[in-house]
Amino acid sequence: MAIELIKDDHELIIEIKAGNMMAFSELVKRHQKGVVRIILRFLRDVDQSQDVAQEAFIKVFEKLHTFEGRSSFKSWLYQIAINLSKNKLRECHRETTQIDHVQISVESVAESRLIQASIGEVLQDEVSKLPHKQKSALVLRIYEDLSFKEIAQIMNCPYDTAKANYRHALLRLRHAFEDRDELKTWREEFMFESEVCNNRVVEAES
Amino acid sequence: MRSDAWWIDHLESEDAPWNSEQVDLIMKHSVVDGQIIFNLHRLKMAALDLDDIPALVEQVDFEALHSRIMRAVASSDPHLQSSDKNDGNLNPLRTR
Repeated sequence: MAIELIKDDHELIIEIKAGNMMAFSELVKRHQKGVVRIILRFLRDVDQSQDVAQEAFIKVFEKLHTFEGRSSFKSWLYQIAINLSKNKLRECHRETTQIDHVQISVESVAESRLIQASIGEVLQDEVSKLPHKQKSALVLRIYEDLSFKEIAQIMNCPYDTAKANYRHALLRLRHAFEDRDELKTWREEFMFESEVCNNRVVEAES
Repeated sequence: MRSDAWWIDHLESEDAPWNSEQVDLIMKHSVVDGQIIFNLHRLKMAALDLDDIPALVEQVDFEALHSRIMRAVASSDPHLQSSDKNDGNLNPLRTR
């Protein structure tokens, strides 16, 4: 019976460094979906995200000889992808600030739309307003379900800094939602659940 | 104990061992703290439930993207220029 051995990232990297392009092809196949997903979280544009993903893999290929394997390959790759996304966002920002007069009219439309917006849209909007480091920590923790150790590796910062960025992001979102009706509903729900819980404790104790 | 730090630690199941007794006590008696942590949890859940990125990811043709990346890598490296650029299955060649 033929047993197909699945090579881990580090084994593939050794092969790529030895000149095996098939190994690089496998590495791209393995990680491209995750890379596109993480870039989409910053850019929210399918075409642009594919362009940046391509750029990220080219950079990986060019810089692979500098990768020492102290962190996981995925952390390194995501670090590159997030940095390229940040650059792309800056580029887009420069382009939009050159047309300020258009922005003013769009802003008022956006403002009135936001009043009517669902909680999902408000969340999206608030997340997009977060500073880059806070947004990165939030995205990597909530959506990618990474540990703070992995987040610190990707963000190239100490563990406590990664955690602090996440904390600031989440608390900032909480403040943004504090006065909104959605949170009031949650509050009522919480009070109801606490009451049910307390009643159960009383019942169990009696 | 600095409140916003322990809220998040508790939410993320990262309570510091030296704090855990105090946290248990607060969670048992403080409705306000319990409510804040509950709201933070709901905020996280809402972010996950309302996530629209997976739908955008579905729009991507990953086979085409893979070929595109491999072609781009080949054309970015002079050592690979002579290889077949039209498919993703490049021959084993030396990288830089």
